[in-house]
Amino acid sequence: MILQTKDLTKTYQRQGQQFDAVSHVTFSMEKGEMVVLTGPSGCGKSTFFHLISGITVPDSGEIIFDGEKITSLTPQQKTTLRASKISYILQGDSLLPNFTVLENICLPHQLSNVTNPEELSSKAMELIQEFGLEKLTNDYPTNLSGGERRRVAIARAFVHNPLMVVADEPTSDLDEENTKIILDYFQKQSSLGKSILISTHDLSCLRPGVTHYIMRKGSMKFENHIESLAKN
Amino acid sequence: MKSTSSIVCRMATKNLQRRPVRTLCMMFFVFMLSTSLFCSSVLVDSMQGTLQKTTDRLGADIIVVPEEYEREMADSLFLGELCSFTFDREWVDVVSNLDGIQECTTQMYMASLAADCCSAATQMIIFDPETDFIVTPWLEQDGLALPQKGELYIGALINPPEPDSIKFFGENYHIIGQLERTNTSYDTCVFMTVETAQEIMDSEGWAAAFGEPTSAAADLVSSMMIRVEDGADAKAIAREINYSIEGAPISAYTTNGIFSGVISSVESMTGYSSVLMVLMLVLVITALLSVFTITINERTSEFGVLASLGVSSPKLAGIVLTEGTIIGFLGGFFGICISVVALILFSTPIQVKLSIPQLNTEISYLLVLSAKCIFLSVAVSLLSSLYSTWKVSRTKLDGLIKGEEL
Repeated sequence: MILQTKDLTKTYQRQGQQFDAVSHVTFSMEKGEMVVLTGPSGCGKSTFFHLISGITVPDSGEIIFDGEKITSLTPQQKTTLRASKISYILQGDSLLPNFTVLENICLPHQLSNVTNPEELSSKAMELIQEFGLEKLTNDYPTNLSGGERRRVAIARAFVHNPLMVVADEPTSDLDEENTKIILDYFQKQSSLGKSILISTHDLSCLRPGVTHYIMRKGSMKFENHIESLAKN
Repeated sequence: MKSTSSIVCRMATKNLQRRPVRTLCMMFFVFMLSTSLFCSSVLVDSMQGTLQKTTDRLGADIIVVPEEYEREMADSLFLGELCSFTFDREWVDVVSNLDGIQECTTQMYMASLAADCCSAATQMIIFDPETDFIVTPWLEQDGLALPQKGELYIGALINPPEPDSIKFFGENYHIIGQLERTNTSYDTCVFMTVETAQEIMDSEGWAAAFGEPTSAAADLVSSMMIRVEDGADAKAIAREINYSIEGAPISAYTTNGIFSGVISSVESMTGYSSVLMVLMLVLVITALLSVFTITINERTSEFGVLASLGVSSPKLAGIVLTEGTIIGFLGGFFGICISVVALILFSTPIQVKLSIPQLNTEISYLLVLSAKCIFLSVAVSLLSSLYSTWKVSRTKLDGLIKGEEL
């Protein structure tokens, strides 16, 4: 098991009233598993992702990642965890506007001090080819289309070979072609042993081999493991 | 493997390069601060330095000059303006016998003319080698012999048309040496003994210029320089001299007293400069603080992205601090460069307008001042970025990711 949460709860205050963004969520996923989390906006998907990647501290419950209790880690250890083992692809446009495609993929990880910059650069070039971004290597994000930007963000998430990739709505606002490129890549990485957890409204993400969870009002429910499209 | 600090530096540099207008505006504020500090320091220090050097070089505690000529004397000593007042030597004996006086010497001042008869309008200082404690030690220090009749020494800034002679009132006089630069008005003077002065005064050119021949040079004195005994109060002795010679056409002044006008100008200039610097500091810090705060808020999600990728809060803060350092350094550096160029190009009008005899252009002084200016520029820029740095480092990561206002 790569990730396990037990009775995870996070409460926020909104307009003077408390509400559970994530409510008593018990969840687990295996190494190499691809999990798709669907649910309406504001149901707590992003908060759940923030919790499991150590960005937000839960009010109660436990998170165990790769045998390590995330809830017991110091902020610095959580930072190191994100730099080395968990990659988080943020919702929307998450590229650094002042850096080229290649720099966007490499620089943040070089800054984290965890990975070797030379290895990172060669891996980055591999990913650039994989995502068909060769001609855009030295372009800035403002010159890229939405699909290209998303591909760069995904390449950046995989460049340092993490154990798990958490992607918050990676295919939103994308055309069919780009959605396919991204989902194909996720599935390929999943088959190579990476754990992929994505949140989406896009039902095309529910592909064979994917485990489907639904989140509503902070609670998470296992829906099914998709064996084939027909079955889904 | 590249070090983290070089990557932080590269990220900061890229951020600045990609926002050229913002960067240039911020650098401009620091530039203004650096320029103000550099220029005002050079001007004030030059005035103070010249005053200090002049009083040190003078080595006298009291100066006796013809009544109401103290201003001319001060301007001559400080600014190198030409003067040629005299009083009768008989007063020298009266004053020198008073109590509390350790030694005294006399000088006479003559001025050549800016006409064909003379190489240039130059201040001539006639000193008495037997009693002199101002020019003679200087010559001894440089290993130079006393000038004989028809000989003279020229100051460091005098450029005679011929290397070994200079013309005064139609006659050529032998230059036996050029004195080392002192950065005082003495650099534009020529020095001679009374024999040479007499030769000049006896020349046809002198008579043509001033009409009737003047009385013997040995009988005339322009100033009397007095050193008081150790522990004696120069002010009290100057007062005593004035009391003793009441009604005489001369007055005694302490060195500080004769330079009181200059000292008060220096003090005013220092005061204005300090006020200007404080205002500039407040203005620049406020402006930089505002720009940093506004742009940091615009960049919240950028920091959120970096945080989500495992960049620690100290490193995020490091990026902002590095940007502040680069802005401070470059703004300060360009400020110094432009100030140096401006001071070189406009040195003459600045000197004339502000009555500063010499601008201090010693390399060591300028280097130390440059280092101070760059240090202040970087410190101000860093100080202005500290608030943003603090905000970035203490904001919760999910707040950064959501792009919340810092």
